[in-house]
Amino acid sequence: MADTQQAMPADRDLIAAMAAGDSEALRSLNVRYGRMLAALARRFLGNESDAEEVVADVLWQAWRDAKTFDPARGSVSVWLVTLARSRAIDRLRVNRARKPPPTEQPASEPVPDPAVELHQVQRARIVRAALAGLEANERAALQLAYFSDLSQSEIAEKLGIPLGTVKTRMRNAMMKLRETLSERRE
Amino acid sequence: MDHQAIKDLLPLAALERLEPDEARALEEHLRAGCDECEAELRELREVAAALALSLEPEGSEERIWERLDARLQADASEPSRPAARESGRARRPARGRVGAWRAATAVMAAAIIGIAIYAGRLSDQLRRANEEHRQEFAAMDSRLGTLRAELTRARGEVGALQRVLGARIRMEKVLSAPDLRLTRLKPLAPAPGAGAIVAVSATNKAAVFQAVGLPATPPGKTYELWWITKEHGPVAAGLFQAEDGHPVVAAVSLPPAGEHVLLSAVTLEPYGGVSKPTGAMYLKGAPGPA
Repeated sequence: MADTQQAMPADRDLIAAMAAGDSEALRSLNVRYGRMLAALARRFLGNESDAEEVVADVLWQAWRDAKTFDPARGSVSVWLVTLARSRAIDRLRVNRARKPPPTEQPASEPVPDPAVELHQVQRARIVRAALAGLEANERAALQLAYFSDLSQSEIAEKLGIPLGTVKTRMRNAMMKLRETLSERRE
Repeated sequence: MDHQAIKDLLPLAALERLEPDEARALEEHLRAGCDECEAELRELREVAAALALSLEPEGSEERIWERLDARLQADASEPSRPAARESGRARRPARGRVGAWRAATAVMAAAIIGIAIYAGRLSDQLRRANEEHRQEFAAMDSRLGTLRAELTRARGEVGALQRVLGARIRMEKVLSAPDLRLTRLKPLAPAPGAGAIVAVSATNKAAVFQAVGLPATPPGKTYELWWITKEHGPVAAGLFQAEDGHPVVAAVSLPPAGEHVLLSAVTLEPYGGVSKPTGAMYLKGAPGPA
């Protein structure tokens, strides 16, 4: 998931600028990842306002922790996506404890920046093509594993297949996805 | 769990979908310094994150920025971090002017010295306060990290308990069903003190397995339950782990619809399960009357 757009600063340069107190770098990081992270959070929460609040929390944490970010441990996008997913699941559990799940709301009309949009569209197209190359049952297991907070057993129950099969499908899907993405990156 | 069994866990670890015992085994393996698994896990996390990148962007970056900007403004007065600077802006110190009269200059100089002394003291006080705040924040950060780790561990334990409870509730529901069918599994040589039952209710579309006395699952292995049917021989019904001295309760798959079940059995298999039995048989039994 390396940044391939020459015209834009690398993610790690934005983080370095944030560590030095440059709030414009935080704004750029929001332009680059904010709406993508909001889409991820909304998959869990079904609510745009909650999703945007989660993204603000994630970017705020990135701002506060920018000085300690270590690129050797993983890329900026993995860091942000992992934080967003984890915080969305936390909020989902809090919401469930407080009230019934929110009804699905239509997403607001996006107002994208063309350069960022192009970069994201290209990246999304590659991943979608890789996902389309998986077997349907492997894709279903993988998406349920990633876009829900269900345990392995709950996924098995939901798909009506044995636990061992769920593990095998998730594992196969991840390995195939890795192979396809690495081929497309080369 | 050996190296290969741990490697098999890595794709699920990248999806953060390991069971608590698997997560513990992986953590221990990585702590022991396996660079190969560490690197592979890092790569697989990139793959998992790519799933998020496949989504159509949603929401409004302006609204997200409004929230962030409000926090930046509130944070500007916090002593532990310098206030955010915006690109292209710099403040220049105002320049003083020298007066013509010496007396006035002397008075001003005295005043400036007085102010400088006061400012020096004030600066010392601020520095001390700043340092105290920094230490407080560091302590709070550290406490927060500990609390997060405790929360994660507790969440794992609650998840495990919920699954056991769910299986027990299903077991009670199945046991009270009018079409209950029980299969009693008797011990074989590898586990002479073990025993199990499988309760099946077709109307509830549920089957629950309960066992006692099975030896703890060895590392890299799993127990697997089988329906052995007249039509297709052994059909996998579910995997489970056992701990010494603890009963096992697990939701398992229903027997294949329309097939005649001759036997049910439990074998010990490689971690992750197999499609046909390969390991030693621990329990076996024929279904009771319908």
